[in-house]
Amino acid sequence: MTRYLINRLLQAVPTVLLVSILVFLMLHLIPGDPAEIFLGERQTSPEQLEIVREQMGLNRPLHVQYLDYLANVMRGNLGNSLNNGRPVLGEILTRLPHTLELTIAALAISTIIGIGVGIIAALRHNTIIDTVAMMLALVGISMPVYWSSLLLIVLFSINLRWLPPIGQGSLDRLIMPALALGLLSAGSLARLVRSSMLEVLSQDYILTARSKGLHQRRIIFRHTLRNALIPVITILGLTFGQLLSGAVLTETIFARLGLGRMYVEAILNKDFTLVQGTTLFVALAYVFINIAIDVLYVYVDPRIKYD
Amino acid sequence: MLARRRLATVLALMLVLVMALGATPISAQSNELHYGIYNNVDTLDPNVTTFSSVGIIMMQVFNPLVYQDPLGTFHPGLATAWEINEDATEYTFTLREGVTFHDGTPFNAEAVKFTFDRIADPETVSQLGISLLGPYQETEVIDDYTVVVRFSSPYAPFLNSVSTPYLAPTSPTAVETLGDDYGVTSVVGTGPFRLESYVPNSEVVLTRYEDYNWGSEELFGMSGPANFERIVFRIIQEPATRLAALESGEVQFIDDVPELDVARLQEDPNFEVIQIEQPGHGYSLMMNVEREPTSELAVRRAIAHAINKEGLIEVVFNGYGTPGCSALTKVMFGYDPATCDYLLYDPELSRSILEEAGWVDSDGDGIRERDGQPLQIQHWYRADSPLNVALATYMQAELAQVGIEMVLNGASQSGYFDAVRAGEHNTQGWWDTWTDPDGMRVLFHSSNADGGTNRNRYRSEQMDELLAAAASTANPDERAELYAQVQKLAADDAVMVYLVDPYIFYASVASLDGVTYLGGGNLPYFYAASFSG
Repeated sequence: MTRYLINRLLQAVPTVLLVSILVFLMLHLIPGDPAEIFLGERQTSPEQLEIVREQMGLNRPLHVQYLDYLANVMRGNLGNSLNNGRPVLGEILTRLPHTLELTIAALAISTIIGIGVGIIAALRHNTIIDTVAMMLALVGISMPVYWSSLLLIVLFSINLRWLPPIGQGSLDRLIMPALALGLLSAGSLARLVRSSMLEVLSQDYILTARSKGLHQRRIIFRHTLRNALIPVITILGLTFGQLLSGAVLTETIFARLGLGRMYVEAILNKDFTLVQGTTLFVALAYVFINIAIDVLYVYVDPRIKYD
Repeated sequence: MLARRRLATVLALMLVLVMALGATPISAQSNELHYGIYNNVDTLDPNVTTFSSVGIIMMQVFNPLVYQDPLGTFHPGLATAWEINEDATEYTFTLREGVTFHDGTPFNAEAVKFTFDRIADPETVSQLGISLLGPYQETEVIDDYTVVVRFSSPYAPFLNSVSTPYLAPTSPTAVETLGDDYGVTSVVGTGPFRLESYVPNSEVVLTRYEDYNWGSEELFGMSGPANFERIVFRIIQEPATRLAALESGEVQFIDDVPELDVARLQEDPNFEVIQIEQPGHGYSLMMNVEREPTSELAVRRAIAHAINKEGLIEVVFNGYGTPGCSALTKVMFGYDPATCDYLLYDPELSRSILEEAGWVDSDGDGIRERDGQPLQIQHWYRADSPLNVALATYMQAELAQVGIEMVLNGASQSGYFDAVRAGEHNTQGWWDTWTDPDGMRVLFHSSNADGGTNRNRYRSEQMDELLAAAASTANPDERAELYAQVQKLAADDAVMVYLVDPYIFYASVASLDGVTYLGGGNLPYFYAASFSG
């Protein structure tokens, strides 16, 4: 297991490096000059543009810019934002806890609702409960985050006055964004759990377990759910990544301090250093989540072994 | 069965949690104002920024040399008196004594000189500031409290310039000690509030400057420390959320109220809507005179006559706004009411102008042609702005009525800038806000025509001369007459279509009193503000 982990971590290095090169190249390939964007509508003269380019370090050859950047990253220096001059690492670290908090809460909501509804629907297969559950799941999937967010705000902030609509840092400010974000993936998760459960329920070993006279609860949780969860865990891993990026809209609507919102602004402003730094972070997060998922398999399914 | 029971328990628990949290009432401390601000912050330094939102925030942290309220009327600020020479090339300011910056640095003539010289230095990369500084030459320190500011050519708009936060004196000590961090982590002014903290994309927190005693009694009815202890500017870019934040009591003041919600909010006794005619330039259409077919005067005139502005205001602005007449909105000094008779909405006239110019729909597809070329114009706009999208689709429909095909090129910010700076557009939208008619230089002066802000790419010696003459005329009546000629010439050449003069909308809780709207309404000022009752 340890060897496997070390191997996986080593494999991650070229992945992250490749991502950083790709992002760097893409940023330079898409049209628009960060200096021009920085100056906005009010650019007064070409000389002024030149000065900004110089200050942003954009006048150097591409490979020099990249290698410089890489060397700095190795020293733990992600550079300063081109736009507001603040250190990129600091900007990421200020926001990371809030985005993580949101993502984890959304994932928890999505897991609890998704798996719960999925199990119920599977056990009540082809009944009205199943139909209603799957309809709800469809609603969850189809409802755009920005719309459900606004509905939540109207209900809980304006009409009931229970929850504050903006900001971060306390539980009452987390509930609405986490719900809006979590409901989205809960729907698809419920459908997945349902079909996966149904498949396992039709297996011969479930029939065997039933004929042995095992308690229904034991059959569901020990024999069915554990087997049905393997594809679900894969999806959960990916969902975490999606939520991390899906946080963009939620963070904007609820005016939350967060990585997603910062990332999008940085891309629009072509704030190279900020985009690169955040990408590096997100790429690392994806890699680690995938490794964690693979490790989790071993615990859920004893048949899986890495050696 | 069990799973269901467990799920029910979890849901019940969550509900209880929500209700328990709901029990804590959402209310603000009465000596603290929370402002839900639409726009972001690029830098904290008002002398450098591109953003008017920074101007709003920093107006509380800095003092201008003079206050302007209403437009065209000036009151003492950090300058107690001023004198302007005949041709507006020399301004002498007498400065207030006993003023200190938040870091203890005394405010004096050196600080004023330092501020202007720093803005003029290209390395500072000042944006709004440097454009307001005009043909700046030098500042001479006469004594501790007297400075003379000189310009290389006459510059009548300067008094307006120094009434903005963008030229407000900054602490030389702070700039020197903080170096590159000045504007990034901190700024130091002489205003009634000082900067406490700033988190990008999130909030700017100001606290009261306790030693403040140089407020304008004449304007604000007080001169000591501000009423509020703290002002928190919370950046909320989503309009619906900004409004929800006000309605739920999270913030007590918001800007940029969506037109769709104004009427509803006006009816609610808990809130007050502040409606101000926007100074400067409203929403308009720039037409590239260097690219076919908008290079043709007939086509530009036809476009101007084809767009129903009343309808546009109904459809796009929910009825709020007045039809645009001139490059200056109706509240501006220099605005000429005669402009409302130029280039009226008249689709019949528009059609006949095109017929006369040889643009005829020969193949019956609804689009006119000439020499086999369809009458097609390329409109560029930023697709990330819903307003720009709405304006573009509205104009497209109006122009189709007279046989002009407007092709919509919605682009990202960078793609848009690339295209319009290179002059690939026939038309593009413009909106601007200034407080002096000299702002028209941005639109019509030939020096801005090469990819600068004059995306009409309009070059006219007569126009350049008129603009220069107006800027160098200190006498208001003579100056206004020159600007009337500018507006006439722009209409004769059909350079732009002025669509709407919009309103600025702010909303606050009804208990908020004492807000002053400086800069023609662009700068809500909270020095004397407080909650009543």
